[in-house]
Amino acid sequence: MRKQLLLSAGALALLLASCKKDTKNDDLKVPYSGLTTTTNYFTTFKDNAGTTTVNFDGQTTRIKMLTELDAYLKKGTTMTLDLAKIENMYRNTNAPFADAALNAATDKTIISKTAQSFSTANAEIERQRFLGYFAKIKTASESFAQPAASGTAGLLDSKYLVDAKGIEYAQLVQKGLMGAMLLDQISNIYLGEEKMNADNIAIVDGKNYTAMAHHWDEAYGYLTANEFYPKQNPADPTKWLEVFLGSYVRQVGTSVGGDPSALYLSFLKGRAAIVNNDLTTRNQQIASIRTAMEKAIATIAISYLNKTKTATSDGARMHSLAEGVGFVYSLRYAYNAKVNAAKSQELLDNLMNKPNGFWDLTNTDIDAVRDQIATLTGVDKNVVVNH
Amino acid sequence: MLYRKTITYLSLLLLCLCGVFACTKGNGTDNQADKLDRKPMLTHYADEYVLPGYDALLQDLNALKDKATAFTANPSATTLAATKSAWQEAYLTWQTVDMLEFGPAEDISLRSYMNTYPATESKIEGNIASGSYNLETFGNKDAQGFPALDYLLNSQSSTGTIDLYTTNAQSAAYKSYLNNVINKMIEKVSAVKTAWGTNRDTFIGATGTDAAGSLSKMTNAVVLYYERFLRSGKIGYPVGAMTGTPLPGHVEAAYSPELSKALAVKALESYIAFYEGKQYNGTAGTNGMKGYLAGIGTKDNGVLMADIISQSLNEGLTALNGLSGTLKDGVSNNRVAVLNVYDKLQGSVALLKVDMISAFGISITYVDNDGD
Repeated sequence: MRKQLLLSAGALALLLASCKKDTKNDDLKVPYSGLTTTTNYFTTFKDNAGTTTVNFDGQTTRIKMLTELDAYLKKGTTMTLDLAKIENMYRNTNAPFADAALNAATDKTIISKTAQSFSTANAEIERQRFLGYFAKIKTASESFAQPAASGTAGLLDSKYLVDAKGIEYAQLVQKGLMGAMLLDQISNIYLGEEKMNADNIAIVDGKNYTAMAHHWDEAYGYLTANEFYPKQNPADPTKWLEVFLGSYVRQVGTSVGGDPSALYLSFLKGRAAIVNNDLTTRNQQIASIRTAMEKAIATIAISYLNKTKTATSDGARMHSLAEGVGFVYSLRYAYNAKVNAAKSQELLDNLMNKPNGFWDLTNTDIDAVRDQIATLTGVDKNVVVNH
Repeated sequence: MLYRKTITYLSLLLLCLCGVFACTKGNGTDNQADKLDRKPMLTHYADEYVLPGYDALLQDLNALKDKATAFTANPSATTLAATKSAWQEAYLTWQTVDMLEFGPAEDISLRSYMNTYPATESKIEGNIASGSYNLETFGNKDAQGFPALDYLLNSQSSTGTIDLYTTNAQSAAYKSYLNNVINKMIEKVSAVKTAWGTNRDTFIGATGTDAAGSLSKMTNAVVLYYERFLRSGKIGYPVGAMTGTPLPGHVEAAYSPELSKALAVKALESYIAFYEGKQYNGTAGTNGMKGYLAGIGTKDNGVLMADIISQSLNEGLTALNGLSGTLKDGVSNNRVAVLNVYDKLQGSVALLKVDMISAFGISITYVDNDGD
């Protein structure tokens, strides 16, 4: 009888243990089991003196540059823009920023991080694309004082600046750089083979992190500047503290097939794996992050295309469309993109190349693009995100 | 021996129980709504409201087409009056199905083809003058549907209108535009009706309370309709409830000021009937959102939320019915009265959008305006 009792107790213990995932946690420098959706990214990774080993100033700097550039482009609704100033902001030349620290960071520019993972020749094409968009915004801004219509640049709903074809290029720039800079840097550059093959033993001279750990943090810094993700504004819980890519990926919540907190856990666990020198776990996280990012962008693109069809004014319609088109463009920057550069360009052309541009589009045109993205990425074609 | 066996069985049982408890995450929320069967409600809406509703609209649009064909073949005061009257009938019927922008109607974005207002006169005249236009394009949403027909039929005196279709140099173009707009409306409503035929089973089968479930999609669509298209579109926006600036040209049926209020009344009456679970033909029923909400049993101060919502919606209807004069004149010259109607309509928004939604265990999936 005692034997049988022991046996069942043993089975019970075994059973309970089987629910626990990491049996070797105790051996790890950063046990995975302790990581949660609100674990502090900065304080989890410390040196022996207790100082965080996380640093991504360069990323925060470039995001601030993008913020100023975006804000200036939006002024095109009230004034004629200065094209030289826009280009200076893109290249960080001639001290174009209001924030002096950005002007001083002369080695940081948006242009050098545009489509960086592409071949030089192809990256050059993308950089020229954005420079071309700037010129179109400048030209449209000359018409800021008049309402827009098919064939006439100006304002729609008194707040969206569009060109004669109804295209709000400021949105193509903003959403496009979320792909060409932020997504590309995360999925292809910093989580890419080269940066992830960096040394993970030696401490970088004068720093307290390894090269590999630092690269991981630089990827994280393009998603958010905060200690966890996503993060609500403590002063106003209806607001969130991410900008650009981090903000849009956050909006793709669990009700529409996304999971921002799971994305954060991947970043956290991958960084822990680097500290633990556990490259198998790290590689799993890289794959998860890349997949989640691509799915989120595809979901947002489809959502905006769907919203275009039910918009109640020309302004809302064209604005939603420009946002969607920007994300359709950005899809090409996913790792091993399902909507690759050629397909993304083909879809973009289908939406932008009608004689009267957006004014000539129909629901059928929208659905054709939307359905291809849905099929290629496996996202529900009817998805609508609560933006 | 028996004792041993018992111990063994007990251990096994314990083992099983532990297995279950150790690895199952508790599903914390125990929502009353989850226990109710949603299928009867979804079946009711599909079979007793949506399908007969689109049938009725299609019938009215076909009648309008016949009258317009007779008018364009032989423009006269009689044939014009008959066309106007058929247009008005169909426009009133549209109010009974406008709230149904979910499923096929949402896919096709039916409302954008049927009732984008105000119509833009310059686009309509430009299309007629050029003779080259595609009513599918985004640039032409405000050049078609009931509002464009209103412009084509009612913006001038009867004689003036008949002249456009007879002596005017472009009379042929006017005739074809009138008929094309009606044909496009029929095409779109037919497409929605056909799609509902195949969508019906999917709709009543999606009984979950998640965002992909029919309850969430339908409820979101009708709540959005109430606040954006009924409250704001018909009353709030033209009266300038948020801006203080009246926009009389933005009332529904702006060229037929005597009709605007009737359209709003019809819309709200239909909304109440829809909420209360009436069949499309008006027969009372218990399988509507109201009955479902009553089944959940949510109360406020001891009164069923289901009844509170009915009462609040009816207060809005009473206020709207009590409005004298036309809306188009009222938004400028009888502002206090129109704003009072708006306030009464506003009174139901939170009940629908907060209380009903949360009792249903679903969430709002749309936002009021674009974030950036």
